[in-house]
Amino acid sequence: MNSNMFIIWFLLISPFCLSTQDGNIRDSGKCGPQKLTLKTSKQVIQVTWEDEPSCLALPDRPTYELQVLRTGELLENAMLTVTRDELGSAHSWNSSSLLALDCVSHSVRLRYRFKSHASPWNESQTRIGVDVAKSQSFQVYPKDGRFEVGSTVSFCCVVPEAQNFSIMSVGPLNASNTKTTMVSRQIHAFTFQANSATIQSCTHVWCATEKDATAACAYFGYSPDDRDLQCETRDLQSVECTWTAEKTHLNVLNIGQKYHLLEDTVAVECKDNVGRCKKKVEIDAGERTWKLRSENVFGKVELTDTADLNKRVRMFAPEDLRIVAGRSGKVSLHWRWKQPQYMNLNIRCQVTVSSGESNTSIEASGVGLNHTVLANVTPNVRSNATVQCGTAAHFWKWGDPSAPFLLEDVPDAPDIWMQTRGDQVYIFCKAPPANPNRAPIVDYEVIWNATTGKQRGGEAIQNTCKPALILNDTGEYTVTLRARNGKHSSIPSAVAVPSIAADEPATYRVIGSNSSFNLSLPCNNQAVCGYILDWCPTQAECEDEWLKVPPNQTHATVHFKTFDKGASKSLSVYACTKGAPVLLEKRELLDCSMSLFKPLKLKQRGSSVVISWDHLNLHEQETFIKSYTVYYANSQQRLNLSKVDPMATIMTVENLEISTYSFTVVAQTPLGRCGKSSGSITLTGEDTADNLWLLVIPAVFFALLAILCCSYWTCIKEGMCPPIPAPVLTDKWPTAADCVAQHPEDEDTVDVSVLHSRQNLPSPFATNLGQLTKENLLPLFTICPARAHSQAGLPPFRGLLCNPSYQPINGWMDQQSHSCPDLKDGIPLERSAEGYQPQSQQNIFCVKQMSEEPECLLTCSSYISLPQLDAK
Amino acid sequence: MATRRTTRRLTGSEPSRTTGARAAAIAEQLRHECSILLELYKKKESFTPDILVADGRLVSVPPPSSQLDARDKLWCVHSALLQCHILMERAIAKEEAELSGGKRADYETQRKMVKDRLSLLLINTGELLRAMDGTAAVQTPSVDGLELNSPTALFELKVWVYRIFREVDYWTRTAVSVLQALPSATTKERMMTTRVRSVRSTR
Repeated sequence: MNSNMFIIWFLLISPFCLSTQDGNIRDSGKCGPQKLTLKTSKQVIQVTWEDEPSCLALPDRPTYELQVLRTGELLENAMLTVTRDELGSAHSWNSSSLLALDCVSHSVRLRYRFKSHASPWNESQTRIGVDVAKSQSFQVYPKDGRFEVGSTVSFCCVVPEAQNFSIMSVGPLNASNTKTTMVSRQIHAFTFQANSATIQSCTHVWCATEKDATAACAYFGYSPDDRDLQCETRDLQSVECTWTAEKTHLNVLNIGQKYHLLEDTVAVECKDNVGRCKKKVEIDAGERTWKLRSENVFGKVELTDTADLNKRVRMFAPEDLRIVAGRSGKVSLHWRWKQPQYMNLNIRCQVTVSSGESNTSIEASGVGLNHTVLANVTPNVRSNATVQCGTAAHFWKWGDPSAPFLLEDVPDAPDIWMQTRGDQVYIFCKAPPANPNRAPIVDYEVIWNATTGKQRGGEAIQNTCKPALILNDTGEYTVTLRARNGKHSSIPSAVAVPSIAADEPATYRVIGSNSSFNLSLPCNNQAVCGYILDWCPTQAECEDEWLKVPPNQTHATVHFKTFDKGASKSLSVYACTKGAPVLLEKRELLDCSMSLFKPLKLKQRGSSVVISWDHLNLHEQETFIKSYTVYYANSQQRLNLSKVDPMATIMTVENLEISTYSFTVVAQTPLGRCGKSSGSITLTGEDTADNLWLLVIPAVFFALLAILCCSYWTCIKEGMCPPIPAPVLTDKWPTAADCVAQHPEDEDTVDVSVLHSRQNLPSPFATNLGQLTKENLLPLFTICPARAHSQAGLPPFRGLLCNPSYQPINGWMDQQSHSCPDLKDGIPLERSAEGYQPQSQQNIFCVKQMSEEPECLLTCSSYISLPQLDAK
Repeated sequence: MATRRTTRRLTGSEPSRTTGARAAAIAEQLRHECSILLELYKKKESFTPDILVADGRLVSVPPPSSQLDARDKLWCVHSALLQCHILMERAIAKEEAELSGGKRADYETQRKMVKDRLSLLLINTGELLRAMDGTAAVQTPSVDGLELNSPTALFELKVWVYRIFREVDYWTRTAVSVLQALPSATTKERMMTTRVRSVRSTR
């Protein structure tokens, strides 16, 4: 029963079901594409169509099958399902063909599919190519195509029927994977990958037959690849954005390349595509975002940058650089801002002074900064200064550097000095020496101001500065002077003219030689900036010459080109002060390098040297000679000898070592020590050896005699001195110790004309007569003979007197050192009389710094260092 | 011929020898400069010698027939050179607008030189014509039939420019031969005129 009921139910239902399914299929058969259109561009076919109205009633989404055929061959088959939302609206589908549509005919057909059911193909739409048109013209397609670098492109060549295809090529272009295929006898395709951009007006794709050639223009380029957008402000009134593009700038023609700078929705076209775009903005606090849109025929790209422009100020270059020499003596570099808006900006600037390979940088900051002092920079050398600035607060980056400014055109400050001549004050200056690398000095600007009294100041431009100014009264003035080269002025040099000093300071005499004078300078607290020396001939007009000495120097040497013998000059020493110079001292300069006696002669005699000189005829002698002083020295030491009688012409120095000695004889004259004559001699051992033989031969003789005597001592004794019986009386014989005490009283004082020393005493010499006291002599006579023999290598007859009463007369002094503390006879010995101490090599010298005055700075230290007694 | 002369003075004054010589020298110079321009252009565009340039002429003036007298030949050349000048200006404008890019300073200098020389030659041939006609002014030749439309495709545009330069070259060569034959032609002209008249009179 149940099975019968099921069959009946099935039979009742199934016709209904079948009819529903049939209805769907029937309805779907009515559905299909309509209004099929074909749009083509170069190598792309765009197909658009609409649904038949019946499609809207379909329960399911319709599917369309699309076929692209090229010369009857299936090129592409695609299935496209339309969503419910899309139903009723137009549909489109793109198909690209590798072959240019101009060359070959392409057709598209479409049908509707539902499950296994398919509507018939609609009437195909065809894009006619030249193959069908049977064109007789010789052409390459596509024409004027634009392709992105890197893409694979295809060109086709239509060859006239009468000609035979030969070759296709492309150039100038970097192409790879080139391939030529024959589509038909008349049509040939050429495919390649473009690896570079077009570099000329266009790239040619050539097609050649055996007797002709033609081409199509093609353009290869890059789609925008701009990046690194950065926005900043330069004039505080606009935003300037920069970016970089690696490849798009290779696009020769920049086809369709456009840039737009956008803020919010406001866009500005950037006209010149050089990676920079400017837009007027109100600069206020806070961050803002800028967008750059770059597009060309191949594509587009958008870049953004967010910034607070107050923190992104890149300044323009400072202009009109110039040097200003301040009255304070400092040089400033000034510049000008073309942008008035910079005046309220807190600016930080860096000045770089480059001279050759060295660079010096100075930084300064301030509101509207437009100058800086060039501290530690010499502006007068061949050097360039450049200035670059940025904002002091929120420094972003240095702005454009200024054009280099040549500093060498600033003249050196001239040296300025004044001289009072009678009732007039002369202002002189020394012009900087002429230098071909420097701009020549054109003139001098002189400004004088009276500091006291009723005198007035004034200004003048002078062509010379010798003198630069003559003041006709002797009030107090301040005179400043600048050297000018027509473009720049030097730092001002100033001198203050003092009123005439009431008291002339004392005058000292300074003896020089060969027109050269060594002067010690007084130490004076007023001389804060050093000393100024100037001089005048005693009997003539003053010279416009002076010498400035820095404050830390204690000596100065003044050298004259000519200095008349016997004439003198008056030299003034001024202290350089903050105000007017102060006259400290006056000196009388005398040159006594004159002829007084004939050159000295030197002769060796054994270990002695005989020094001799001859007098000049009295009428030739330029001044009176009080005495002579003889110095000598070898490489190790310097010692002086003594004053010698003015009539003496010969002198002997004894017991010298084998060495080279120099001897100097100076005449003591009323002017000072003048007429120096020097000579040197190298002692040889020959004469000494001769003398030694004279000593050695008798010694040998006596030694042999002694040996003989010893050998035959008993015999001799027996023969010569038979034993004598001892005396009956016994008494005490004196001992050796007793012998010492038995010097006769008259030997307490011994005159010594020539002193000798042990060999290790390097400087035995003859002095004027010295005196030996008894207490000095006593130990000598006891120990010296024995010790002399014990010294190795000493000849037996040397070293008789070990400690001469050594008394140096004077140290080795320069020509002015007349005031070295006198060493009185005997004083050094008394001072060091701790028993007997023979002299060593470093025994005596007197150091006096070149000074003719015994006041401060004069260190005359003299001492005697007596050698220690040998421990043995 | 582009246009017919409405008036003609058969007894025109003798053309200045110096004007003729000068025009011939300019034409000779232009011929030399034009050949350089063609070489530079071919090099710039990589045009091989086998590239076929359509035969059709751009200048609508027919080549001067040997039957024409010297004055008519000169008129013919003058008309053709004027068309060449117009075409050349057009070519330069199109090149600047559509074919710029790349390094070509030499070419552009030469192109300007040829154009300026062509202007100078036109002035001189015009002067010569006035001298021959003995009038103060010579009627401006017509440019009817001159095709100024340039191709749209870039390669075809390049070929068109090349054809214009070849036209300039062709007409310059023609001008050289016409101008160089001019001094003797002036004497022949009278003879020919007499001959033509006699022929006409026999008709």
